[in-house]
Amino acid sequence: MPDSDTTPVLTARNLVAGYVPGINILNGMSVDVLRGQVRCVLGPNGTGKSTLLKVIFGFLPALSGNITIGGRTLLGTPAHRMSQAGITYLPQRPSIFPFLSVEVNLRLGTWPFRRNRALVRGRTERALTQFPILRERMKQTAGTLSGGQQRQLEIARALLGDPTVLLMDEPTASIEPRVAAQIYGIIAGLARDGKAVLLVDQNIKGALGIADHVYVMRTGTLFEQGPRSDFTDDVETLVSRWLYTR
Amino acid sequence: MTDYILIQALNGLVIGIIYAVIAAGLTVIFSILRIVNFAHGEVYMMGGYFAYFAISLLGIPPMAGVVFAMAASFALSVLIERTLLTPLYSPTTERKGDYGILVTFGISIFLRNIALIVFGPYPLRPPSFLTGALILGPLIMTWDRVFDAGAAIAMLVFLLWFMHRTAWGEALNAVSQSRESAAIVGINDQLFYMLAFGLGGALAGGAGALVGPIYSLSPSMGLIPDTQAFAIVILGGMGSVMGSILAGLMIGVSESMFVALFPDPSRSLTYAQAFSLLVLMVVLLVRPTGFFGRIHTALD
Repeated sequence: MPDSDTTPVLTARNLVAGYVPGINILNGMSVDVLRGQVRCVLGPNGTGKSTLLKVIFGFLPALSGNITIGGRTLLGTPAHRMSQAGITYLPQRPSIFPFLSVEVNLRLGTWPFRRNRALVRGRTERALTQFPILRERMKQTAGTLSGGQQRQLEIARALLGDPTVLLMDEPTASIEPRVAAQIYGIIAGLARDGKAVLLVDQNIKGALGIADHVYVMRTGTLFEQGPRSDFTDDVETLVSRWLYTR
Repeated sequence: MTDYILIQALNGLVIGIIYAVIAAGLTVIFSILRIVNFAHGEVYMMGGYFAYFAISLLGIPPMAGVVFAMAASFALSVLIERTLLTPLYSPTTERKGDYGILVTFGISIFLRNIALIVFGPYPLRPPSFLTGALILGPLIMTWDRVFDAGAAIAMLVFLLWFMHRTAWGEALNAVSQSRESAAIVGINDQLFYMLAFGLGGALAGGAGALVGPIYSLSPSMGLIPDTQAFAIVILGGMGSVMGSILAGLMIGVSESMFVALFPDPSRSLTYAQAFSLLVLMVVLLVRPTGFFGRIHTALD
């Protein structure tokens, strides 16, 4: 089991970005993502948490700042090349292809290395061993899976590319608590396996349950950060601090 | 009378298959780029001219002329997509649907007028693919129509095979369902926009080359098939290639039967297109999403 390394695998520095000219959603946000850790970004609605992930993944261009992975800059890299750079992104709404079967969804996860049949077979088998429910439902249309199963399919598909960094946006949104706990367990397991996870979440208790390090955002900037222990004592105080501190 | 109706039904099937090819191309473009391509009929027209000049200037055999027309239409469509449609993919472009309509409408007018200047207003007729007629008892059909039907079926079978049996077809389908999800798994969505627009154009151009020996070529020949193709796409269900094929056959046959059975033969041809739109209206009243329609508009 790999230990967490203190050298960030991905760094984002002073990111400024927005959807409309003149209105910035991110105003100099910085994060570090480390192997073997779940780093969690919390904060009130509309503060730019999801935007941060979109900018890192290349869906929204940064106006300024820098993003590096392994010392190599990612700025300007189109989103479809991110999987080859070792980054995957799981948006708030599961990014499965709802009208395709589970089997085809998984096959599409091997797109960048589809010609390497042995690698495709090996990784698919590994994913199906990790998520056995998917093996039972290979021919089922992905959109007909339950919310939790869709998330499992999405994570399984993401892992086919053997990413170093996983960017996750509210992975348990609209999922019942029992299944949400399973999903958090899976995410914690990914970190134990040496993956670097940057988790954006509104489920504060759930996220704090697995986070190694917490970033709190307000109005597009870093409000405070620290290890999980700094935040777990009194969640209510934490939330009221976000809401009422100016 | 029965023989006459049977012959009309067969003719309707042939034109229906051609309509299906045009509409399937429109469906592919609509599903991936999410734009209504008003220039589709003009690419169909250009396909006819590409085949004509390949045959008459380059000495290519008429059947190979269809392949040439498809390749040239693919190239023309890719050129249009790369030069004029890329702003559709920018996150900063607002009202993308309106942009697509205005640009393709402009391209349609441009191509029609360029054709008028370059090729002239007079109809041109490429040579037959096969001369003579197939005679089966009372049924008579020119070999050109038989070839057209066979070639159009081959195009549709190829399209279905490509979409359902190849990795690229699966990726195209994935892009049609979600551009963002496709990019997440590493699919270059821009490449597939180009492919979809080119593929749709190749189908339209191929159809234009097929009808040349039957209906002749003119700069405005794309107007009516284009309108029919829009009706067929809606009738079949937006985004459904199989729906487009079935709706194309239905419109082709029903139009032909209408012409055959309309009491006043001197006016029946004039009303043929109105009849197909009437079919569309009736179907939409009963089934507003078309035959295979669903709430999303992805490729199927």
